[in-house]
Amino acid sequence: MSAQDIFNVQLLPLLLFVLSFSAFILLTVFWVFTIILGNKQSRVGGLRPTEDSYAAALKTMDEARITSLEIISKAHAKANNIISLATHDDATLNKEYTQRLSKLANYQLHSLKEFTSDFTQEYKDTVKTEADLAAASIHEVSGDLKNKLVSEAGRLMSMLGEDLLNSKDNYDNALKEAFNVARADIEVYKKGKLHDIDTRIIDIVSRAAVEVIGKAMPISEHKEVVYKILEDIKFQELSK
Amino acid sequence: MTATVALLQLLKTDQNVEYFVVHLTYLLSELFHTDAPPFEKQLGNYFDAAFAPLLMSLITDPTNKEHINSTLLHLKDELKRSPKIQVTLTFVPDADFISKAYALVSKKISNPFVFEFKIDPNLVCGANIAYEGIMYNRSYGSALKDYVYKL
Repeated sequence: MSAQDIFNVQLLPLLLFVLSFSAFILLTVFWVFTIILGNKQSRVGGLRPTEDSYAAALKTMDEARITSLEIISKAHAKANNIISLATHDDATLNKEYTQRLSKLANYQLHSLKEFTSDFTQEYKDTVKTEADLAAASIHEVSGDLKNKLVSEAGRLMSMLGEDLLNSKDNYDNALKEAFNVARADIEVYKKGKLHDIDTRIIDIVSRAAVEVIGKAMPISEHKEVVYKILEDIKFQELSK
Repeated sequence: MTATVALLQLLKTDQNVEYFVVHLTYLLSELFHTDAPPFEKQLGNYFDAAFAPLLMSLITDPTNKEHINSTLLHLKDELKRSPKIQVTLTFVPDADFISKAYALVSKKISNPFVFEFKIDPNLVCGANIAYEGIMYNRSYGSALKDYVYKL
Protein backbone atom coordinates (compact mmCIF):
# COMPACT_ATOMS: atom_id res chain seq x y z
CA MET A 1 0.00 0.00 0.00
CA SER A 2 1.46 3.26 -1.04
CA ALA A 3 1.43 6.50 0.86
CA GLN A 4 -1.09 7.86 -1.54
CA ASP A 5 -3.37 5.00 -0.74
CA ILE A 6 -2.98 5.44 2.96
CA PHE A 7 -3.88 9.18 2.65
CA ASN A 8 -6.82 8.44 0.48
CA VAL A 9 -8.18 5.71 2.74
CA GLN A 10 -7.55 7.10 6.26
CA LEU A 11 -7.20 10.97 6.16
CA LEU A 12 -9.69 12.02 3.57
CA PRO A 13 -12.78 11.30 5.64
CA LEU A 14 -11.20 13.03 8.61
CA LEU A 15 -10.42 16.08 6.53
CA LEU A 16 -13.94 16.15 5.19
CA PHE A 17 -15.28 15.86 8.72
CA VAL A 18 -13.12 18.75 9.98
CA LEU A 19 -14.10 20.94 7.10
CA SER A 20 -17.76 20.12 7.53
CA PHE A 21 -17.62 20.80 11.28
CA SER A 22 -15.87 24.10 10.75
CA ALA A 23 -18.44 25.16 8.25
CA PHE A 24 -21.16 24.18 10.70
CA ILE A 25 -19.58 26.20 13.49
CA LEU A 26 -19.18 29.24 11.24
CA LEU A 27 -22.73 28.99 10.05
CA THR A 28 -23.98 28.63 13.62
CA VAL A 29 -22.00 31.64 14.82
CA PHE A 30 -23.17 33.66 11.84
CA TRP A 31 -26.75 32.64 12.52
CA VAL A 32 -26.54 33.51 16.19
CA PHE A 33 -24.90 36.80 15.36
CA THR A 34 -27.55 37.44 12.76
CA ILE A 35 -30.26 36.66 15.27
CA ILE A 36 -28.68 38.83 17.94
CA LEU A 37 -28.08 41.65 15.51
CA GLY A 38 -31.59 41.26 14.16
CA ASN A 39 -33.05 41.37 17.61
CA LYS A 40 -31.00 44.42 18.46
CA GLN A 41 -32.01 46.14 15.28
CA SER A 42 -35.63 45.31 15.76
CA ARG A 43 -35.49 46.63 19.35
CA VAL A 44 -33.79 49.82 18.30
CA GLY A 45 -36.03 50.19 15.28
CA GLY A 46 -39.15 49.82 17.47
CA LEU A 47 -38.22 52.79 19.71
CA ARG A 48 -36.97 55.19 17.07
CA PRO A 49 -40.41 56.41 15.82
CA THR A 50 -41.49 57.32 19.39
CA GLU A 51 -38.36 59.31 20.10
CA ASP A 52 -38.60 61.11 16.78
CA SER A 53 -42.20 62.03 17.51
CA TYR A 54 -41.27 63.27 20.96
CA ALA A 55 -38.55 65.50 19.57
CA ALA A 56 -40.82 66.66 16.77
CA ALA A 57 -43.56 67.53 19.24
CA LEU A 58 -41.17 69.49 21.45
CA LYS A 59 -39.93 71.33 18.39
CA THR A 60 -43.51 72.13 17.36
CA MET A 61 -44.29 73.43 20.84
CA ASP A 62 -41.16 75.52 20.87
CA GLU A 63 -42.05 77.01 17.50
CA ALA A 64 -45.54 77.76 18.75
CA ARG A 65 -44.13 79.43 21.87
CA ILE A 66 -41.74 81.58 19.83
CA THR A 67 -44.58 82.56 17.49
CA SER A 68 -46.74 83.53 20.48
CA LEU A 69 -43.96 85.62 22.00
CA GLU A 70 -43.49 87.39 18.68
CA ILE A 71 -47.23 88.12 18.48
CA ILE A 72 -47.28 89.62 21.98
CA SER A 73 -44.08 91.61 21.46
CA LYS A 74 -45.48 93.09 18.22
CA ALA A 75 -48.76 93.95 19.99
CA HIS A 76 -46.84 95.65 22.80
CA ALA A 77 -44.77 97.63 20.32
CA LYS A 78 -47.96 98.63 18.48
CA ALA A 79 -49.54 99.78 21.75
CA ASN A 80 -46.54 101.92 22.60
CA ASN A 81 -46.59 103.35 19.10
CA ILE A 82 -50.27 104.32 19.39
CA ILE A 83 -49.64 106.03 22.73
CA SER A 84 -46.61 107.88 21.42
CA LEU A 85 -48.57 109.06 18.33
CA ALA A 86 -51.37 110.53 20.49
CA THR A 87 -51.35 114.31 20.39
CA HIS A 88 -50.60 115.44 23.91
CA ASP A 89 -47.92 117.00 26.01
CA ASP A 90 -48.65 115.30 29.28
CA ALA A 91 -45.47 113.41 30.14
CA THR A 92 -47.00 111.99 33.31
CA LEU A 93 -49.91 110.37 31.47
CA ASN A 94 -47.53 109.08 28.79
CA LYS A 95 -45.33 107.48 31.38
CA GLU A 96 -48.31 106.03 33.22
CA TYR A 97 -49.76 104.35 30.12
CA THR A 98 -46.39 103.09 28.92
CA GLN A 99 -45.84 101.50 32.31
CA ARG A 100 -49.32 99.99 32.29
CA LEU A 101 -48.81 98.47 28.86
CA SER A 102 -45.40 97.12 29.86
CA LYS A 103 -46.95 95.50 32.92
CA LEU A 104 -49.72 94.04 30.76
CA ALA A 105 -47.24 92.62 28.22
CA ASN A 106 -45.04 91.22 30.97
CA TYR A 107 -48.06 89.62 32.59
CA GLN A 108 -49.07 88.00 29.29
CA LEU A 109 -45.55 86.80 28.56
CA HIS A 110 -45.36 85.33 32.02
CA SER A 111 -48.75 83.62 31.56
CA LEU A 112 -47.68 82.17 28.22
CA LYS A 113 -44.43 80.91 29.71
CA GLU A 114 -46.27 79.17 32.53
CA PHE A 115 -48.82 77.78 30.09
CA THR A 116 -46.08 76.38 27.81
CA SER A 117 -44.24 74.90 30.75
CA ASP A 118 -47.40 73.21 32.02
CA PHE A 119 -48.17 71.67 28.64
CA THR A 120 -44.60 70.54 28.10
CA GLN A 121 -44.73 68.76 31.43
CA GLU A 122 -48.09 67.26 30.49
CA TYR A 123 -46.63 66.06 27.23
CA LYS A 124 -43.66 64.46 28.94
CA ASP A 125 -45.95 62.78 31.42
CA THR A 126 -48.04 61.43 28.56
CA VAL A 127 -44.99 59.94 26.88
CA LYS A 128 -43.74 58.40 30.11
CA THR A 129 -47.00 56.87 31.21
CA GLU A 130 -47.88 55.65 27.72
CA ALA A 131 -44.56 54.31 26.58
CA ASP A 132 -46.16 51.99 24.08
CA LEU A 133 -48.14 54.76 22.46
CA ALA A 134 -47.96 54.53 18.68
CA ALA A 135 -46.11 57.16 16.72
CA ALA A 136 -49.36 58.34 15.16
CA SER A 137 -50.83 58.97 18.60
CA ILE A 138 -47.76 60.93 19.60
CA HIS A 139 -48.17 63.10 16.52
CA GLU A 140 -51.80 63.68 17.41
CA VAL A 141 -50.80 64.80 20.92
CA SER A 142 -48.21 67.22 19.58
CA GLY A 143 -50.75 68.55 17.08
CA ASP A 144 -53.28 69.16 19.87
CA LEU A 145 -50.65 70.92 21.93
CA LYS A 146 -49.73 73.11 19.01
CA ASN A 147 -53.38 73.98 18.47
CA LYS A 148 -53.85 74.75 22.15
CA LEU A 149 -50.75 76.91 22.25
CA VAL A 150 -51.75 78.86 19.18
CA SER A 151 -55.29 79.31 20.43
CA GLU A 152 -53.96 80.47 23.84
CA ALA A 153 -51.69 82.96 22.11
CA GLY A 154 -54.69 84.17 20.13
CA ARG A 155 -56.71 84.54 23.34
CA LEU A 156 -53.93 86.53 24.95
CA MET A 157 -53.69 88.61 21.80
CA SER A 158 -57.39 89.44 21.93
CA MET A 159 -57.02 90.26 25.64
CA LEU A 160 -54.19 92.60 24.80
CA GLY A 161 -56.30 94.17 22.07
CA GLU A 162 -59.20 94.81 24.47
CA ASP A 163 -56.90 96.20 27.11
CA LEU A 164 -55.23 98.32 24.50
CA LEU A 165 -58.58 99.74 23.36
CA ASN A 166 -59.66 100.27 26.96
CA SER A 167 -56.33 101.91 27.70
CA LYS A 168 -56.75 104.22 24.73
CA ASP A 169 -60.30 105.12 25.82
CA ASN A 170 -59.14 105.63 29.39
CA TYR A 171 -56.27 107.69 28.11
CA ASP A 172 -58.57 109.88 26.01
CA ASN A 173 -61.00 110.29 28.93
CA ALA A 174 -58.19 111.12 31.32
CA LEU A 175 -56.84 113.63 28.83
CA LYS A 176 -60.26 115.27 28.45
CA GLU A 177 -60.75 115.32 32.21
CA ALA A 178 -57.29 116.84 32.69
CA PHE A 179 -58.10 119.51 30.11
CA ASN A 180 -61.44 120.28 31.81
CA VAL A 181 -59.77 120.55 35.21
CA ALA A 182 -57.05 122.74 33.73
CA ARG A 183 -59.65 124.92 32.02
CA ALA A 184 -61.61 125.29 35.27
CA ASP A 185 -58.40 126.13 37.11
CA ILE A 186 -57.58 128.75 34.50
CA GLU A 187 -61.07 130.26 34.85
CA VAL A 188 -60.74 130.38 38.63
CA TYR A 189 -57.27 131.87 38.28
CA LYS A 190 -58.51 134.46 35.77
CA LYS A 191 -61.42 135.48 37.99
CA GLY A 192 -59.19 135.68 41.04
CA LYS A 193 -56.54 137.56 39.11
CA LEU A 194 -59.06 140.00 37.66
CA HIS A 195 -60.51 140.55 41.11
CA ASP A 196 -57.02 141.17 42.46
CA ILE A 197 -56.33 143.61 39.64
CA ASP A 198 -59.66 145.38 40.29
CA THR A 199 -58.89 145.61 43.98
CA ARG A 200 -55.40 146.88 43.27
CA ILE A 201 -56.72 149.45 40.80
CA ILE A 202 -59.24 150.68 43.36
CA ASP A 203 -56.54 150.74 45.98
CA ILE A 204 -54.10 152.61 43.75
CA VAL A 205 -56.70 155.13 42.60
CA SER A 206 -58.00 155.57 46.15
CA ARG A 207 -54.53 156.16 47.52
CA ALA A 208 -53.79 158.55 44.72
CA ALA A 209 -57.06 160.35 45.41
CA VAL A 210 -56.31 160.50 49.14
CA GLU A 211 -52.88 161.92 48.41
CA VAL A 212 -53.91 164.34 45.67
CA ILE A 213 -57.46 165.39 46.56
CA GLY A 214 -57.72 164.57 50.24
CA LYS A 215 -54.56 166.28 51.34
CA ALA A 216 -54.70 169.03 48.74
CA MET A 217 -58.05 170.25 50.08
CA PRO A 218 -57.96 172.28 53.28
CA ILE A 219 -60.15 171.13 56.20
CA SER A 220 -62.43 174.09 55.71
CA GLU A 221 -63.27 172.92 52.21
CA HIS A 222 -63.88 169.38 53.48
CA LYS A 223 -66.29 170.83 56.03
CA GLU A 224 -68.10 172.85 53.36
CA VAL A 225 -68.52 169.72 51.27
CA VAL A 226 -70.05 167.87 54.23
CA TYR A 227 -72.37 170.78 55.04
CA LYS A 228 -73.58 170.72 51.47
CA ILE A 229 -74.14 166.99 51.68
CA LEU A 230 -76.14 167.30 54.93
CA GLU A 231 -78.28 169.97 53.36
CA ASP A 232 -79.00 167.92 50.27
CA ILE A 233 -79.79 164.62 51.93
CA LYS A 234 -83.47 163.85 52.33
CA PHE A 235 -83.51 161.71 55.46
CA GLN A 236 -86.21 159.09 55.66
CA GLU A 237 -87.55 158.81 59.19
CA LEU A 238 -89.10 155.46 59.93
CA SER A 239 -89.91 156.02 63.60
CA LYS A 240 -91.42 159.15 65.08
CA MET B 1 -89.37 170.26 74.22
CA THR B 2 -88.56 167.75 76.93
CA ALA B 3 -85.45 167.95 79.09
CA THR B 4 -84.11 164.80 77.42
CA VAL B 5 -84.35 166.32 73.95
CA ALA B 6 -82.74 169.50 75.23
CA LEU B 7 -79.91 167.48 76.74
CA LEU B 8 -79.33 165.60 73.46
CA GLN B 9 -79.22 168.89 71.58
CA LEU B 10 -76.55 170.06 73.98
CA LEU B 11 -74.60 166.84 73.91
CA LYS B 12 -74.86 166.28 70.11
CA THR B 13 -72.52 163.26 69.95
CA ASP B 14 -72.61 159.78 71.41
CA GLN B 15 -69.19 160.39 72.96
CA ASN B 16 -70.56 163.34 74.92
CA VAL B 17 -73.54 161.21 75.95
CA GLU B 18 -71.17 158.60 77.36
CA TYR B 19 -69.28 161.23 79.37
CA PHE B 20 -72.58 162.59 80.62
CA VAL B 21 -73.79 159.14 81.67
CA VAL B 22 -70.53 158.52 83.53
CA HIS B 23 -71.02 161.73 85.49
CA LEU B 24 -74.60 160.75 86.24
CA THR B 25 -73.36 157.43 87.59
CA TYR B 26 -70.91 159.17 89.93
CA LEU B 27 -73.68 161.46 91.08
CA LEU B 28 -75.99 158.55 91.78
CA SER B 29 -73.26 156.73 93.70
CA GLU B 30 -72.96 159.65 96.13
CA LEU B 31 -76.65 160.37 96.36
CA PHE B 32 -77.34 158.25 99.43
CA HIS B 33 -74.19 159.08 101.40
CA THR B 34 -75.10 160.13 104.97
CA ASP B 35 -72.87 163.15 104.86
CA ALA B 36 -73.86 164.09 101.30
CA PRO B 37 -74.55 167.75 100.62
CA PRO B 38 -77.89 168.95 99.25
CA PHE B 39 -78.73 167.72 95.74
CA GLU B 40 -78.24 171.11 94.07
CA LYS B 41 -74.71 171.22 95.49
CA GLN B 42 -74.02 167.67 94.37
CA LEU B 43 -75.31 168.51 90.89
CA GLY B 44 -73.00 171.50 90.65
CA ASN B 45 -70.02 169.31 91.49
CA TYR B 46 -70.51 167.20 88.35
CA PHE B 47 -72.28 169.37 85.77
CA ASP B 48 -71.74 172.90 84.51
CA ALA B 49 -74.29 175.66 84.20
CA ALA B 50 -75.53 174.41 80.82
CA PHE B 51 -76.64 171.00 82.09
CA ALA B 52 -77.43 171.57 85.79
CA PRO B 53 -80.66 173.57 85.23
CA LEU B 54 -81.95 170.99 82.77
CA LEU B 55 -81.36 168.19 85.23
CA MET B 56 -82.85 170.20 88.05
CA SER B 57 -85.99 170.76 85.97
CA LEU B 58 -86.52 166.99 85.92
CA ILE B 59 -86.51 166.77 89.72
CA THR B 60 -89.80 167.80 91.31
CA ASP B 61 -88.70 167.05 94.91
CA PRO B 62 -84.98 167.70 95.52
CA THR B 63 -85.21 166.31 99.07
CA ASN B 64 -86.61 162.97 97.99
CA LYS B 65 -83.53 160.92 97.17
CA GLU B 66 -85.58 157.93 95.98
CA HIS B 67 -87.32 160.14 93.48
CA ILE B 68 -84.03 161.69 92.35
CA ASN B 69 -82.49 158.22 91.95
CA SER B 70 -85.33 156.79 89.84
CA THR B 71 -85.55 159.95 87.70
CA LEU B 72 -81.84 160.00 86.91
CA LEU B 73 -81.77 156.24 86.23
CA HIS B 74 -84.61 156.69 83.79
CA LEU B 75 -82.71 159.55 82.15
CA LYS B 76 -79.63 157.35 81.80
CA ASP B 77 -81.66 154.73 79.97
CA GLU B 78 -83.20 157.27 77.65
CA LEU B 79 -79.84 158.78 76.78
CA LYS B 80 -78.34 155.37 76.11
CA ARG B 81 -81.21 154.50 73.80
CA SER B 82 -81.14 157.77 71.95
CA PRO B 83 -81.22 157.46 68.11
CA LYS B 84 -77.87 157.87 66.39
CA ILE B 85 -76.82 159.18 63.02
CA GLN B 86 -73.55 157.60 61.97
CA VAL B 87 -71.38 160.03 60.04
CA THR B 88 -68.09 158.88 58.53
CA LEU B 89 -65.75 161.72 57.69
CA THR B 90 -62.26 162.20 56.32
CA PHE B 91 -61.27 164.54 59.14
CA VAL B 92 -61.68 164.85 62.91
CA PRO B 93 -64.69 167.07 63.58
CA ASP B 94 -64.30 170.06 65.90
CA ALA B 95 -66.98 171.67 68.05
CA ASP B 96 -67.92 174.26 65.42
CA PHE B 97 -68.41 171.65 62.76
CA ILE B 98 -70.48 169.49 65.11
CA SER B 99 -72.72 172.38 66.07
CA LYS B 100 -73.32 173.47 62.49
CA ALA B 101 -73.88 169.93 61.25
CA TYR B 102 -76.30 169.23 64.12
CA ALA B 103 -78.22 172.37 63.29
CA LEU B 104 -78.48 171.41 59.63
CA VAL B 105 -79.73 167.90 60.38
CA SER B 106 -82.12 169.04 63.12
CA LYS B 107 -84.00 171.00 60.48
CA LYS B 108 -84.66 167.81 58.57
CA ILE B 109 -85.27 165.33 61.41
CA SER B 110 -87.98 165.75 64.00
CA ASN B 111 -86.74 162.94 66.27
CA PRO B 112 -84.02 163.60 68.87
CA PHE B 113 -80.65 162.21 67.81
CA VAL B 114 -76.91 162.33 68.40
CA PHE B 115 -74.05 161.97 65.96
CA GLU B 116 -71.76 158.97 66.02
CA PHE B 117 -68.64 160.06 64.15
CA LYS B 118 -66.12 157.76 62.49
CA ILE B 119 -62.98 158.66 60.55
CA ASP B 120 -61.96 157.02 57.25
CA PRO B 121 -59.36 158.80 55.07
CA ASN B 122 -60.17 156.41 52.21
CA LEU B 123 -63.37 158.34 51.62
CA VAL B 124 -61.03 161.01 50.21
CA CYS B 125 -63.67 163.68 50.38
CA GLY B 126 -67.30 164.02 51.51
CA ALA B 127 -69.10 161.78 54.01
CA ASN B 128 -71.02 158.53 54.34
CA ILE B 129 -74.10 158.77 56.55
CA ALA B 130 -76.28 156.04 58.04
CA TYR B 131 -79.63 156.68 59.69
CA GLU B 132 -82.56 154.41 60.45
CA GLY B 133 -80.84 151.59 58.55
CA ILE B 134 -80.35 153.59 55.36
CA MET B 135 -76.90 154.41 53.98
CA TYR B 136 -76.27 157.70 52.27
CA ASN B 137 -72.90 157.31 50.55
CA ARG B 138 -71.78 160.76 49.55
CA SER B 139 -68.01 160.34 49.51
CA TYR B 140 -65.58 160.40 46.62
CA GLY B 141 -64.11 157.05 47.72
CA SER B 142 -67.49 155.29 47.64
CA ALA B 143 -68.33 156.82 44.27
CA LEU B 144 -64.98 155.64 42.94
CA LYS B 145 -65.56 152.07 44.13
CA ASP B 146 -69.08 152.00 42.66
CA TYR B 147 -67.74 153.25 39.36
CA VAL B 148 -64.98 150.64 39.17
CA TYR B 149 -67.29 147.76 40.19
CA LYS B 150 -69.76 148.72 37.45
CA LEU B 151 -67.03 148.58 34.77
